[in-house]
Amino acid sequence: MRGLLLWLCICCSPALAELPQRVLCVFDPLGAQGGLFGMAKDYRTQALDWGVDLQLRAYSDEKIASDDFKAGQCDAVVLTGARARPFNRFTATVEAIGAVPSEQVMQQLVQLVSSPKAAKYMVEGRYEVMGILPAGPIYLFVRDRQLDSVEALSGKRIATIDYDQPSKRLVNHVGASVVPANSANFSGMFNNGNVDAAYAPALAYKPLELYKGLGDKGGIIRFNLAYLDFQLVAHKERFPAGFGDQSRRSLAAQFERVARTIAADTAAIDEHYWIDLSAEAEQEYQTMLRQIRMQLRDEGVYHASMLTLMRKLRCRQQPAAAECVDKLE
Amino acid sequence: MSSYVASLARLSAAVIAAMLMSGCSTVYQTTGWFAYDYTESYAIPFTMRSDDANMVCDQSQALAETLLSFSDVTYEAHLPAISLYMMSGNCAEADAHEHALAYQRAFNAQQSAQAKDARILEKRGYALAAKRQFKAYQHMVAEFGEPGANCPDLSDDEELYWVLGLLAGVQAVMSDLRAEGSVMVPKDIAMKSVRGMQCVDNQRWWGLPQAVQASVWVMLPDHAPDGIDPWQQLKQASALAADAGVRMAHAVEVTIADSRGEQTRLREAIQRHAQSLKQQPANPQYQLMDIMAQRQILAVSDRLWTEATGSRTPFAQLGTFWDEQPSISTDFDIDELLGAE
Repeated sequence: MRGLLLWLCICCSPALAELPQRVLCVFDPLGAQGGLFGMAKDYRTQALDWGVDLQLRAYSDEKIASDDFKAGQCDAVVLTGARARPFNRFTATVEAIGAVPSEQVMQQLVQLVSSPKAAKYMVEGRYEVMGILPAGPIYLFVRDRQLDSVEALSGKRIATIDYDQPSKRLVNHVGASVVPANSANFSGMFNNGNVDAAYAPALAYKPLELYKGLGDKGGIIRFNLAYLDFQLVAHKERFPAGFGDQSRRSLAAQFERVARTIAADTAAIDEHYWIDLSAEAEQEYQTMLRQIRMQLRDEGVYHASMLTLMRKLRCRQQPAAAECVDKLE
Repeated sequence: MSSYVASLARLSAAVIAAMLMSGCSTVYQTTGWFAYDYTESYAIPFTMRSDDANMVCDQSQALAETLLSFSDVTYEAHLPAISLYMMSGNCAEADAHEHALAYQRAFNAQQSAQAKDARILEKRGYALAAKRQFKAYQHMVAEFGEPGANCPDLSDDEELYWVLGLLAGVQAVMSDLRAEGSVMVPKDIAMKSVRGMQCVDNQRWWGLPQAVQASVWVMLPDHAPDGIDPWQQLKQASALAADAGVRMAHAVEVTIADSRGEQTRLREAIQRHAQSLKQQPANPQYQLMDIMAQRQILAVSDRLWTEATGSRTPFAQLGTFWDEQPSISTDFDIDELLGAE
């Protein structure tokens, strides 16, 4: 009898499923203490239900995270859209300059690319994009409010993320000087007056004290130069079938949670710093940015289908815009 | 005549009531002054000497609102508030650490519902911690002005509250980050606090100013002066802290190494801390601060151990790690000892 009980205990005790262990490398400027890394903790709990045991590794240097992913030390990685360009041109184009004018367009875009029908665009070679998270619009911060037009920026020094080709193209296009920078040093350059302008999302304003560089004369142009995002890219063959689809849907469902944080960061900016462009100036910016987007598309930097998709979403919001008639993208 | 008597009676009752009320108010006011004075002069220095962080935790949580209610009848007592809210914040943080361990254990056991639940509790804990720590910081600002630009003129005693308030400011930002920014602590107070910390003497405050400054340089290397190695600076600050017997700088070093994912530095910093505890007793005047630092480092060690093994740092073994081979003395040979004499 005792033997039977023992046998029953052994046979019926719940055993842990042998889930495959995978490494998720997360770029977060604040490392393991940051908010993005915190979201990754929630994500890995979800991933258990999808059949993968994810081990997290924090990176405060995005280039190292990207290199480790390429070298196969990470099975998946979280990077900004610009850094994710080598892995998927379609999704990297989400950060195309001037292409996302509002949060609404961004949300629609994320939902669209996260739907099962878009799965074919998510895979490029051996890489699969397994989700996109918004990080907020990128604004131009100027030390002098007079620098509010394309002409005024000519000849000025702009802190420019040096690995991002579209950024360099834009700065060159307006006739300004590229001052190579990265996410760790651009604030110092701006605050110390080594550059006349820098671009950043609202989330950088308080922690990096960008108001010091703005001082009494500076301002922030209320115009989305681009929409910063984080993308989860994976070595496709290291994850079970269907994982990517579940992952994309799960991350898309986080949009509003992240949007609340973006709204709080934006609200933390002192109101008097905002510079509202005139309708003509805004049109001038939009025309210029569209021209650059098309050049970069023709050069193979931006993905044509994504640009078309974004144009159609913009036109749903503003059907009367000239680009909706021109249909150049 | 009767109406005259009735009016007189009403007037007398009103005067007596007013006198009684004013009397009570005076009593409350005097009690409030006494309570604040006692707290600043005796209770807080006494708790700083305490060797029981749990007791101080419970006491701070229990007393904070009661004691500070005297603000309604006297004045806002910012100094006791800095200390009480900071300590209460640390209590909430300790709870959050426990939930973080529960999350890890549930994750290791592949129990996703329990893991999610523990994460929710962890975030709630950090949100509460952030709220309290931010209150401590705000009281410090109300008392001394905003840090970051100019240094206030501080007496020796006031410096303690300045340091506590600034620490609370940094902690509030970190706790809020872990609580999805729900408390909306302004993120720039971290940098302001670091600059404010430079207003006090590094030696007197156990290397803490140097440690927090170096941690910024680790995070933003281009802000460091040429030729300065921020990790070396952190180590120097920790050495000062060890000598002083108040190892708050160790906690800063461990936290930074942990957040940067620098596993080798992290282990080495924890080991150095554990070694220092054996060699240098806590400064009796600030024993509580030393214990708080120790608890923070133990929390990091517990998380590492739980991730790797499912259970926390073994009892009294801070500074050890699960994958270390136990050393076996080879000075003696069993065959030789048991061989023929």
